[in-house]
Amino acid sequence: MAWTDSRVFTQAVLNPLTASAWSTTEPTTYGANGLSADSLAVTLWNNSITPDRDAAVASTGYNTGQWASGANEQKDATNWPAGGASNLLASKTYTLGTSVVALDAADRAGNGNLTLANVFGCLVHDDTITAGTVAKQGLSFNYFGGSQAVTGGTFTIIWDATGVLKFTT
Amino acid sequence: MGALLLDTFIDWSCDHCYATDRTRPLPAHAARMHACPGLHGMIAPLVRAGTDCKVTLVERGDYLRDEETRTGDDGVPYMAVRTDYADGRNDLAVFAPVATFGVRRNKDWRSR
Repeated sequence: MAWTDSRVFTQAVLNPLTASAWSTTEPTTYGANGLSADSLAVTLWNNSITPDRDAAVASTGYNTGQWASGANEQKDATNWPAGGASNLLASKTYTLGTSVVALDAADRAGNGNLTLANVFGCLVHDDTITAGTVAKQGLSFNYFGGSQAVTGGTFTIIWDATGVLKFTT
Repeated sequence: MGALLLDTFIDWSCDHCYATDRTRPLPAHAARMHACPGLHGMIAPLVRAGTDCKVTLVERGDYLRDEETRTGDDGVPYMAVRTDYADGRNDLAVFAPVATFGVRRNKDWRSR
């Protein structure tokens, strides 16, 4: 199946919704102040994986399930290192609109020139989470719409005008 | 004896519109973006004035389905803007769709 769309992980929503509505065990926490206080990282991936928004929580973290680091993560030792810890989302903002809650951030460029041949999408994960059912729990995956390649240049992600991820009712 | 203060700047321009800019030196990988009327209003990089390069939009390669992503003023969904340099290098800026999670009323559940 490979990539088909851009989704928020169901398990990333389970915590805040069910924590208020029912005594369901929370899969994780997003820090005392939610995503605003946590470090969100972005990693790049090829088309050999099949992102699943309904994956079990243990399979939604970076380096778990489909997101196991290795040949499928598209990385550069210096300018887009594995794990995304040096590619954090900056200037995060929260938007409340009509029937919409969105998280946005500044566009993300790598740290310098690099060569990547087969980038299809990215994983946005919470890099602050280091324990619990899964560390570095995934929040969303964003599909770029086709194969992307860069040779000796910069790779920049320009987020949609409505944000990195959003919840609609 | 007074010290000589050196001040340098970089000129930026766009081949598709009249946008220009002048900045102090930026990191090597830094880009100056603008909404380009010559590229259907899509966000595109300015390039250093005098650089031998070509900036082009790349149409989305897959079906749009229900993805929410940037489209040009021609209604076409574009997935990237690519800068090809004469020496074979290229820069790429991809337009990532927003990841969504919808909470909708379920008619079957509501009718019980």
